[in-house]
Amino acid sequence: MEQGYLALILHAHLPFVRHPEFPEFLEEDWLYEAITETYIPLLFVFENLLAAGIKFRVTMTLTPSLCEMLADPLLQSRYSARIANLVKLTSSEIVRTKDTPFADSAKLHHEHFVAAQQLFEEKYQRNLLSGFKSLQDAGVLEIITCAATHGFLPLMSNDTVKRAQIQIGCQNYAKHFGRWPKGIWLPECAYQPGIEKLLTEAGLKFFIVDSHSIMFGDPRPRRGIFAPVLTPSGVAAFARDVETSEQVWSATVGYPGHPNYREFYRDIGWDAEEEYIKPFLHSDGKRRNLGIKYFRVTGKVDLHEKEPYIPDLATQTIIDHANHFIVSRLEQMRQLNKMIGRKPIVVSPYDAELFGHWWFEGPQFLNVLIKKLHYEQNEITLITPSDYLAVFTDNQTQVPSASTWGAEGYNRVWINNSTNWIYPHQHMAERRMIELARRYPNASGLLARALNQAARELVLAQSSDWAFIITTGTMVPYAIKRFKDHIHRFTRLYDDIRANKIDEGWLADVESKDNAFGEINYQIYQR
Amino acid sequence: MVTSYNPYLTHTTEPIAEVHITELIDEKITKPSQEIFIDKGLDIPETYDIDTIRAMVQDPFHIWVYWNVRPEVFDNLKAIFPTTIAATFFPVLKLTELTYGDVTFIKIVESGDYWLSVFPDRKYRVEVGLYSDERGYIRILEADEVVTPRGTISRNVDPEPEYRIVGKEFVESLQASGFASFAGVIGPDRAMENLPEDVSEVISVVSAGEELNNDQIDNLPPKIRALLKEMQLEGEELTWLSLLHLLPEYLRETIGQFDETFDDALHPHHLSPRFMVGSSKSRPYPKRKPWMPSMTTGALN
Repeated sequence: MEQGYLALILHAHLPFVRHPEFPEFLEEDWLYEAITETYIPLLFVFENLLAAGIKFRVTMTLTPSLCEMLADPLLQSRYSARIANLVKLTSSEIVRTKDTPFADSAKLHHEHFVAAQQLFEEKYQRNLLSGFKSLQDAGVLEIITCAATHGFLPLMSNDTVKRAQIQIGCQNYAKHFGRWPKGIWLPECAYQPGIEKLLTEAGLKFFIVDSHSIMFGDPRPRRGIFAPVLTPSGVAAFARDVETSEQVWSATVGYPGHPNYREFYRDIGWDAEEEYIKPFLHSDGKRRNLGIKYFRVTGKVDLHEKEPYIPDLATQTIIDHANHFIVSRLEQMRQLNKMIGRKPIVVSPYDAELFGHWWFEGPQFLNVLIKKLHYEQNEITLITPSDYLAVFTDNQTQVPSASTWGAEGYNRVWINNSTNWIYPHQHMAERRMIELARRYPNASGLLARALNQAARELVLAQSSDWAFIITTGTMVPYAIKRFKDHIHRFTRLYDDIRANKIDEGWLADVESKDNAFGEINYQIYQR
Repeated sequence: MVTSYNPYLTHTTEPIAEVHITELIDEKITKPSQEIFIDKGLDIPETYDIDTIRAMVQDPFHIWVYWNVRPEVFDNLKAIFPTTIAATFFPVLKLTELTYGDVTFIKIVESGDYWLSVFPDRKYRVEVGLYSDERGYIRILEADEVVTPRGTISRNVDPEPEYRIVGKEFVESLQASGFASFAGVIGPDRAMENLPEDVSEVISVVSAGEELNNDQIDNLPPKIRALLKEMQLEGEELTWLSLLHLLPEYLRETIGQFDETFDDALHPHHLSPRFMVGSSKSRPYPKRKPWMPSMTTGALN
């Protein structure tokens, strides 16, 4: 007998990073690593489950900035070269590790990369979005959208620019997936009362918030976080379940930290002989992760004490963890069913890149979990938020509390003493963009190009990633550079447009670099 | 070729010119012999020469405000008054708590920023203006009003019977929702017992509407004491307001050492829980290598 619903939500996001001005670029690797380790493995798992006739529903965010990169021919060709290079390296590795404890791992990595290459080049013709779109069209995935560049909405200066981030995101979704989105992942789950009106305007039906948003909402939620609430504008808010999050994320009790799983921080980019590995690194020859890792977590030991990775051991552990996850959900749902007087929905959102990139076995965990849910029990049903809303149309009306899923649950990660210098510049650009849009309501030709590029520069500057990177202290110079570059370009466009002196050559150069959102229309800033 | 030059991948290796020995010592101290080229991005304006003020919420206890007022705006305003009177005006930030009307003035300069300590679930208005002890306050700029997050459960129960939830039932719901610390809610008496004596004494005095004496201030933790001393120099009222604004944060820190919440049945006040699990944004990954930005975390506490 069905006890409740499980909504798995995978949030796939990377900031827009594309540098045609350089033949290779360190931060572009984020995308290439995620393609090999997360996006292709997830597609592979979902396609095979579908082919096996297994019924399941999973929700995925593919953020507009990520979609724009996945669809970009330059980045596709660069990924093609990179995966070819890795296939070459793993071929050598099979020879090099023969008769060592690492032989099975080397073979595993080689097969993985060869499969990734074949799927990328042949099945998906280099555009992974086609794979995700097919899965949505087949009724397996529900893909939801996000604000255009993952802009942190509560810290923007006014509703016009918030609306633009949301609308550009929805339009971009329609471009890539041929339909309008039903749901949105609010960047960083950052909600403040009032945002729901903009979501309703955009025709969206639901969004995701952190637990305390609903638990601290007004009035008190009758069903806790196990049913959505309807905000005053009618759009529904679903809250993250703490328990399932902890089972996967927790540093102490989370699955990915199990001793049998692959250790992320032992990579042959660092371990192999320098001369041997050099041809596979960037041209600067600096060591970096290559995604080939031969050790397992082992336990709380130093990196040099890690033991060899044994694929069969990891596979057994995946099965154990999938069983544990299901048993825990059954207990949780049986209890909740009595408590809330309705079949509960347990909402489990994760960064998609957790699965495969950070937790190598993550996609296989999902594979086993979904199979077991299908074949071995009938109490838990996988569902998406929009499916749930179709089943339960009556939900409590509430104003959720302002919140994020950042540390401490509010805005501190994005506004603090290391990031607050950003906002006066961002707010000025927002103000100026609105001014331009109203001053030139029906521009055409070169002026329209300049205005549209100004809009692109603004949304790229608004990305929440820059403040996040600065706060966390990793790759800080790059985040600062990116924010400043976009503000600089926006400011020059503003000045040139106002002075009626648009430099077409310079504009074309900027258009070729910051080429995201080809469909953007600056008139969105007139409202 | 310029196109093959990637500033992120290249170190500059310019030779060091011959220098006198004393210069070399200085050079060793102040400059590395081989500097890493870091692209700090294109130039952006330092200021924008317009009058502006914005207030932004950080969390239930903090608002950040920045402002810029062109000097001529202040000058033009002062010019209305006779010179002797004009000289008494100085720029201030005015913080108004709109529910109870509490007002705080903070002396400022024409351009800058400020962290304000505030209360949860209140609406605030922040302004920049000129203040004179003799002529009062003149508003120049006003930021959009901001509302701080509740940071706790709502006191309001849904009027619809179907959605009504109170008492023990809601505590169970909180537990099931992962708010474990809410299960063992502690009463205000226990909270007071666990606070340092000097702090609980100050709370009692303030609660009774009485004034603090210097000894009581001296016994407070250094962080609060230093600020109160500074505020005292600017007037009694500011000291009081400052204390009221600082106490919630200090209470949160102190109580957080043994529990994250305290409560009484009629007026529940739950301190902001620390959501340290479950989110990529708070997961304490090892910090050895750069990580995907959407997943990178560090010392965010």
